[in-house]
Amino acid sequence: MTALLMASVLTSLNVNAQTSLDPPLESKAITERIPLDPDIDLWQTATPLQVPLAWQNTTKPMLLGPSISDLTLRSMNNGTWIGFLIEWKDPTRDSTVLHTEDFRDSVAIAMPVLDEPQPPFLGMGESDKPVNILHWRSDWQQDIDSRLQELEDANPNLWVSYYPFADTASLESIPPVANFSQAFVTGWAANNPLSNPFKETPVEDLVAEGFGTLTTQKSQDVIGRGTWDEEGWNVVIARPLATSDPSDAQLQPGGLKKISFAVWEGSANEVDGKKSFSNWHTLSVAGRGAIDGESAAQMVEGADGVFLFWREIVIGVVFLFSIAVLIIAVSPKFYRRAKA
Amino acid sequence: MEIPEGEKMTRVNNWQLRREMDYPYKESRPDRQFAAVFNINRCIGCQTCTMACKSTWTFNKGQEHMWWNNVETKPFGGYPQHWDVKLLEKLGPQKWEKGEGDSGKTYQGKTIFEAAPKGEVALGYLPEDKEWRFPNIYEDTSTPWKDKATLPSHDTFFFYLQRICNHCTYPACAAACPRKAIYKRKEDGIVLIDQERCRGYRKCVEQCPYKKPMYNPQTRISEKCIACYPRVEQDTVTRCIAACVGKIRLQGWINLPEKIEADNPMDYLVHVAKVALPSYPQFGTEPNVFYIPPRWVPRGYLKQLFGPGVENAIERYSDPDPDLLGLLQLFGTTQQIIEKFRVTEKDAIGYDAHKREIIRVPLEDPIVIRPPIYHNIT
Repeated sequence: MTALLMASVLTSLNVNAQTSLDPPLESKAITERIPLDPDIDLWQTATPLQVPLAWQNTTKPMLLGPSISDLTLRSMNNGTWIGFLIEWKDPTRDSTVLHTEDFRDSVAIAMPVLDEPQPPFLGMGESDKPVNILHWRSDWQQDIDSRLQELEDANPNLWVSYYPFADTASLESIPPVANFSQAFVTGWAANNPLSNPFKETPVEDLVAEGFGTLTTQKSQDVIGRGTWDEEGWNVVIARPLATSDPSDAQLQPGGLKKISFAVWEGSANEVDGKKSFSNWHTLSVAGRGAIDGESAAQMVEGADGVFLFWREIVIGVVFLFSIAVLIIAVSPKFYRRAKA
Repeated sequence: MEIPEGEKMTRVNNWQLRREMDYPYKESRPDRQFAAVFNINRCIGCQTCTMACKSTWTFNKGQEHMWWNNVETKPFGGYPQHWDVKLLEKLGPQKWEKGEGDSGKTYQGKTIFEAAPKGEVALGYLPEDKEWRFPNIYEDTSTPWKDKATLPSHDTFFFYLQRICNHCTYPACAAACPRKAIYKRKEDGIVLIDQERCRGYRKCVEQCPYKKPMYNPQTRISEKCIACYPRVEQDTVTRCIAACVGKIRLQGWINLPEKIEADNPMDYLVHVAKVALPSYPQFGTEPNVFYIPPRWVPRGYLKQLFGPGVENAIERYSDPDPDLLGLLQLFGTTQQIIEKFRVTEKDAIGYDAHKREIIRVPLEDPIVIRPPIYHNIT
């Protein structure tokens, strides 16, 4: 079946099937931090690779005609972290999903988790041959850039007299969803990452073993940032080359990896299988050694905020605990009780 | 449900169409199937069911537009607006087998699965936000006034249609979900959206013909009527059914026509007396909520909505035999699910799964004449 589907995918490509002569995506070795900002000039020093896209018509729902035709890719690594800059033309910015009829612009990277000579089936991997998916979403980006998009942003005249189980300080305005009891915000209560009002990164780290199996990973090891100008989207996706997560594709300086891309045009109601996607390409990670003496978290600009967050909390808790112990220790009550 | 090779459709048996039809999954019926009968003739459109559901399940931020139970005025009302006529128009005119009598007719047209456009699992459309905004639009609006009234049906008519999820045997929502986040429970046939797996693609909203999955913009995923499964697990009827002041609803478990248990209230109403009919059976999902059609409505309209069994259903309902009359007295009398019933000369009796009596109502209420002291006191 897989072979048949594969053949179907390849025949559906509106470009010639890729041959070994196709140029690889070179991940340039740098000694600086990976810039999360797509507009930083350093990105322009990396060699661009333009990859043509086909429309997905193997599984339902299908895309039945051309949409976004190609992506321009760049990659850089500093021996510890790797970053990808993905750019495509899109005159419409669709970064809200507050209406039933709204769909988001988004882009994703797929890499095989295992290193086998034959890459897994291009359509979301296959059983026992998982693919690691890094999915950037424009609505998550907007949530992070400003604040969580709420119902009242799309419905400015909305007024509700009463919500039970909500922290409603005033009836003048609708409270943000974070003020509601999580138990009654069902998606959030079920720990669905789409429903979580506290987003730390616009990129989700996922794994799949075939159609319909896409699953959020327990360990989220990817960050990113996307910006839109009148012409289209420029999205940076970055992650450590190597992670301790067995669901992640592992990369190394000097190594090769199969890589594929997919993109969704929100204004054309593209979602799920209704997407444009590339063939497998080869990612070539150039090696020049890591920057010495710095932790991996500092190897990418902007990563500190996300990955050092928990460390700060732990330090804070330990500090507060120490203060509390000190206060108890010096309090006269404590001594009186000790004497008694 | 197993996914067939190559995602081709399989052939499954749909008893409501009296034929096999295409469906993306193999036939896999639950151990028992949630079902309900709504008697349209008794409904006064008070929306108590609607509010009971709302205050139980959809009171939170992001659910303002959600009415898992709604009551709309037909023929013009609809939530979302014109949900049924929009799909009927897409499907185009379809035919049932011609012949005398109302039962036993085969559906010769196409179901929504058989009429699926390329690249989709079923025929459907995605209603926009504005279509969900007026859940009771055209309330009590009748068709244009005609000078004279006729019998048995009136040319000038309206009626209330009570709608919850049909917990279909062949749910289009589950068929359409690309990541199998929707499942039909083996133990009771209730269809649920997994709130952890759903990713808000809205294929269910697009392809459920009854438009009962709804998108929550705050959680960015979809939700639907859950048949009050925590109550059903304790042999208790759903909130909408328990709250009905008009006593128009009865909940139970339905069997296939070849496995009828005549003392099962659902089997009796649907398969034996045939007074209760599925809504839009031609869509092909084998819905499990059944309606006793309104007697005053022109038959052509009712046949479009409930299929070819309309004449027979109205005839039986208008002149009920003692068993049917007794069973109709049991509607809305208890919060427990009545699994078996029996009608004696005096009483209608409902039993639970262990054949314990849970309700007994007299077929005729005793006549009590008030003494003069109570006259003119309300």
